Amino acid sequence: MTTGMTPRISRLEAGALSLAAVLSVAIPVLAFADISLPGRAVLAVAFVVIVPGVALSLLLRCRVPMVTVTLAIALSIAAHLLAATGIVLLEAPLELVPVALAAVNLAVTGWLCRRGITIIRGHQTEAADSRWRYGSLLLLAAALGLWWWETHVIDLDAAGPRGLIAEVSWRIGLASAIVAFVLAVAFVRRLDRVVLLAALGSFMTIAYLLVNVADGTGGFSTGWVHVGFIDYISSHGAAAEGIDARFSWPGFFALGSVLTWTAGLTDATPLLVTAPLVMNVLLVPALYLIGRSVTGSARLAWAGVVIYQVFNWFHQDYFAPQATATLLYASIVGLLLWQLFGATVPTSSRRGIGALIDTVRRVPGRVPGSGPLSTMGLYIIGLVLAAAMIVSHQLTPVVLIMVLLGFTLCGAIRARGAWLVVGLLFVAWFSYAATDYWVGHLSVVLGDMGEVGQTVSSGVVDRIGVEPTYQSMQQLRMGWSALYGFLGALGLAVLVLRRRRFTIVLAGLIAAPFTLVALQSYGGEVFLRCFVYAAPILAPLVAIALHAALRPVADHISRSPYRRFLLIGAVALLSGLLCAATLLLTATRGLNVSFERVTTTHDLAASQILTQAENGDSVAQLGALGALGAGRVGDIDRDDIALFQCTDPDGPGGEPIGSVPMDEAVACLLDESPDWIYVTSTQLNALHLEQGTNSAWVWQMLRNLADTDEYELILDAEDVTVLHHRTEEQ
Amino acid sequence: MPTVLIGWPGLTILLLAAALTLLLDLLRERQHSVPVSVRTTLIVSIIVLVLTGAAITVVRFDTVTGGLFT
Repeated sequence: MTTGMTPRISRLEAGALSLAAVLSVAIPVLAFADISLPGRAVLAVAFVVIVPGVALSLLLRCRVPMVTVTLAIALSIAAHLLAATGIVLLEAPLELVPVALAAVNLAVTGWLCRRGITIIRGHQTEAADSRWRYGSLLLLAAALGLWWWETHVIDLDAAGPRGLIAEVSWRIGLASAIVAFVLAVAFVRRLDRVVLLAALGSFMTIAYLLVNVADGTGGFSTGWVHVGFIDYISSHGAAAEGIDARFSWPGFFALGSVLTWTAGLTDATPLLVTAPLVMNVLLVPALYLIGRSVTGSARLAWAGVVIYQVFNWFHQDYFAPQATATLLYASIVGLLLWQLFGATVPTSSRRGIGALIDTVRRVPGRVPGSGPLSTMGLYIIGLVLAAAMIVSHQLTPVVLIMVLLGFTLCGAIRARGAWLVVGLLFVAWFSYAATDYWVGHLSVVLGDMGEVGQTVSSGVVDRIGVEPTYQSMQQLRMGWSALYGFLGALGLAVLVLRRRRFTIVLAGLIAAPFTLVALQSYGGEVFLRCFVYAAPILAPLVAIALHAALRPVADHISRSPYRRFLLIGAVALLSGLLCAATLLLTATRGLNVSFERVTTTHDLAASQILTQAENGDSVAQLGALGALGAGRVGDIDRDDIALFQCTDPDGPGGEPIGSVPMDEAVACLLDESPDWIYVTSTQLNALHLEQGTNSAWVWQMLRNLADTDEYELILDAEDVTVLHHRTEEQ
Repeated sequence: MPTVLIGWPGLTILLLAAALTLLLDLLRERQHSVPVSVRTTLIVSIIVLVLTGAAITVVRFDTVTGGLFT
């Protein structure tokens, strides 16, 4: 990695370094002067993504561009997470974070410039076919136009048990077909990274942003709760104690608070809309790095990136700590695999136990071109990424520790103590800052250990629901995941047959997350998380399996006298498959749209409550908070007990809501007398699909409640009802 | 400022163990073969610190949970 005394960087790297330097000056100035500038939020996000990572990663002078890009993104985000966490713990002004990181960036950039940077041309590649490039970019623009049109006409209120796929029109079908065609052609031609990246960006926009852009707000209730946590840190300058265990890992929320300030936003709500796109775009370099190491081929690595997106129905990329933790995790795994597959690893001449001992004790060589200093630097950067993960998310570090231990036992890592360092840091943080979690969630932490059957039940069986169509669609989701796992296993088998090195390491990377099933149910979400952590490794393996299956066909085409016609047929077939896969992604990812979305009406209603409620008020609702979670954390009591108790006395699993006489339910609520009642169509849709609840019964009950003298109807929109308990003066 | 469940000495021990492990790894990287005496001292120190930290954690955890282990 180290080459000479003068840093040699590519033009792209020089551009990124210059942009980072400009942002290091511009963002603190814009934030302190509170200058209203169009696109300031975009600049603030760019600041988080490239400052100070670009400058610091260039210090390593790595010759592999995707390693530098992966490092730059992950290190910038990690530095922000750690700095913001430190500031929150010290209860110091959060404004210090961008100033400190900008200063670090400028200092390192200045040092690099004093050393005399030599700007070199990037990899010499054959000139791209400009006609194809501009033609494909035009096609992608047309696809995005169709998607934009769809966002203005789609009727998401009509979404039911089939989810989004039943509501999308021919526009999304055609847009998906166009993107699939461009991708298919891109893979059979000489690789053009511009076209591939543009096609990937278009794919992600169409697949991930349709609902959010159509609604004009971010979906996913938990994302709004995170906005509330960020709002709390912005208002109080510290994490809350005794309110929610998630404050024990404040990294993401502290970063969100800093970002809200630098972006000039009143709260983090606007960040919810584009979060899935941003998170997935940032993940691309790490995914490519993993794919390049696993497959040994740039084409298959890109195919792996596309496959990852096609199977990414898990929806864990919304505005949440796990999305950033997953990015850090994938980056660390990418760097580990790059070092492993690029190094010379000693093999044992012994057999049996002797060979096993030699394997455990061996130390892989360094990546060609790297010296002790750069290897140490990479190790320390890896620890910084792990530390940022530890202060931001509770589950991902556990998987990382298992992965690092696995690498050590396989003799596949030079830093043999890394698993212990990360493990100790994890325990230290758990002891230091996660008090709420230890004390409040002890039964959760320990109660699920070894209860695999119960975890499977809560993670799979309980999530299927009772509505027959919804059940079928849930089975489609499981089938889609099973296919992903099966094709990944086939890819691994192909590598074993080809006697590829370190297949055991790859198998371990897939298996490690699934050991979580034995430790935690994670509120019934553990299977989703397992797939999230295994997916970056499965994707290139699926690419290998598909390549092995299609290779004889490709060979036949290349030898055939009808090569041109067969190639057209192959592209048509590949486009069709990709288009079908995209629509399957729309079906699986968008299945819960009827209850996971948040509409502007919900937002308005919730804002009204958050503005008018007095400290200590209770707000009764039925399940997901939605926009109601976006503020006043700790001030008002969001309570879903009263409504459930009064309408569903048997509790979950008993008779559904609505099985009690309506008069009794109204009398019960009058007795409970919550200060506010907030019921949305999405809450009722969820209950209908999961428990068979009759929505009309609930709406009628609320109207009956409003007819009493006790409650005042504040808002009665088509998809949300808000009632307020009258005070004595009223 | 959050409460430290294993106390500041416990936390210091854990962080010291992590720092020594990192030091050992960095020494291995810097000097291909670390002198046996240095390596042994570091490894023994790490083991002692980790075991002490683990013992403190278990005892404190037991106290907080009202006798989970005893």
